Amino acid sequence: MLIEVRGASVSFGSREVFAEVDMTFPDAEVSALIGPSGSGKSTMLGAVSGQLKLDRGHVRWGAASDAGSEPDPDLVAWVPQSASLLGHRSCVENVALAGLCRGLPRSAAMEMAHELLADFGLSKVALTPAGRASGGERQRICVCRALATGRPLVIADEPSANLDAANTDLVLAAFARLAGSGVTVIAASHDPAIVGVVSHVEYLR
Amino acid sequence: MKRRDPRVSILEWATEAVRNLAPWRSRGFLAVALSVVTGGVAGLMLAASASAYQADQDREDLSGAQVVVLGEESDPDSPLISRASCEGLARLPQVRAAGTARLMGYRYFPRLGRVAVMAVSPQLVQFGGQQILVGADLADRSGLRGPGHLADSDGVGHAYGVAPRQPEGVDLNGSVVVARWPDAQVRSCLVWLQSAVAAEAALPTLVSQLELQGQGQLAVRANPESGAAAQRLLGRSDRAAVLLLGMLVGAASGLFRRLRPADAASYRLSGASRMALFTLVLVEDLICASAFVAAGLAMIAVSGGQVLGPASGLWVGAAGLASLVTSLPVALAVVLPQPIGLVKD
Repeated sequence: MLIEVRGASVSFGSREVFAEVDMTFPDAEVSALIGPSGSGKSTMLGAVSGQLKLDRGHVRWGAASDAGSEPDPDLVAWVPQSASLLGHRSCVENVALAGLCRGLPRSAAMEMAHELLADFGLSKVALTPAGRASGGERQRICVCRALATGRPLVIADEPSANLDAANTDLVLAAFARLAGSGVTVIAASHDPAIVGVVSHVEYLR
Repeated sequence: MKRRDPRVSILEWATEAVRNLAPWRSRGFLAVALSVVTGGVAGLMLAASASAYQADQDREDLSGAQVVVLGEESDPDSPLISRASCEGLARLPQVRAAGTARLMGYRYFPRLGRVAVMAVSPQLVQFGGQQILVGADLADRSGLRGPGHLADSDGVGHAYGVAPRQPEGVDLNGSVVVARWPDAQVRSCLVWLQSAVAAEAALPTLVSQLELQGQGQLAVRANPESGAAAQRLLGRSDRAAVLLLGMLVGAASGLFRRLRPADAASYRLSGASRMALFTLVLVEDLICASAFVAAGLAMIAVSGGQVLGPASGLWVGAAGLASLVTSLPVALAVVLPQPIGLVKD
């Protein structure tokens, strides 16, 4: 799903967050939204996902050749900066929740969750309570959960903020696999190191 | 591209709720445990209060506060009362027992000595198939337990039982009582009101039911304090305290939920709609409220069920409902924000 942002402006009171910003996030690719802290990355992600209204400008989802559609928050899967998981439930149950919320029977949701965890090298922690998983594992579980939602757009806010280099690589590799399955991924980061491993970069200053 | 919210059955959310609350390490378990403990305390309070009320009521009953005397035995100008209409008062819902009592004379029984013999209406004292009853104080003094046979001075045996203790004003505890009454009309009628009834409120009905003959004014002796135990019951604070305990459980459930915003975020990030998350939260709160009610009822059954009416159970249920209502604002607070807002909470 191609996403186009045109003439986007947002202010909070008298403070202008950004003005007249144009961006394009290509379909089925991992895009990085790079900018220093306070540059408005989270605000831009909110606008792209449809959770936040722009003061001016617009965000369109869809191919450039057609008129596209308004953003729909219900079609966005989030990978948050702090991995929000049910700590006392197993890792596989956390991922299976997304299947349940799609209306899958519990057994089918669990089967899908096991497969996803295996794909992302997390089989050994599948039955471990999520609260006991490492930071990197938790972040990848969040990626699995995002994939299990079956939503066409995944937005990650500072996905590497709490991770070391090795785990950052694993998470970015997971994003690449998501994109390979047709999902559009946008990862906001203040870490320029991420630029080298994504296929598209947009900057906010 | 608009996605329809998939239908997830209530059973799935109930399963999720149990899995969130049952593990003893989860914060949800603390909410359930608190509900059980608080519900038990609420039940205990109601049972203790009911026991105290029962003792208070028994004491007041025997003090004669609930006895009303209509007419005056020793006044020849007092109107005559039809005995049947006096005994008929026992059928009124406000009345525990009613009838007449009259001293027949004194008689010697080898095991009792010389004692007063009272003739009373069987609507005033239940004879239970016995020919005579021995008053409670007289039986205590004589060591009689009954039932059995009691010989009179002529050596004739009578089937006897021991009368339940009568209140002051129905002075039969020191007498032998027989159910025999030849007179169709009497000058006084004894009425023992139910515990919760105030004599002042019941008197017009009682008097209107009597068939009177004669011009004199019907004397009435009633205790202005009658029904006071019931008034004290209505004014007691334990029921309000039980409701407060229910609200406390609701507030605590809400607090535990606020302490784990990541849980709500997890469901929303997994694709649960606001309505779906609200359903889950509601089921969790319902489980806590049910645990409160179940513990309360169990404690009532164990510690005082025999003296409690269904009203106590209703108060525990009302407290459970109060807990549910109290937890709702927090439930809405975690349901309404966007998922990413919950993560940052």
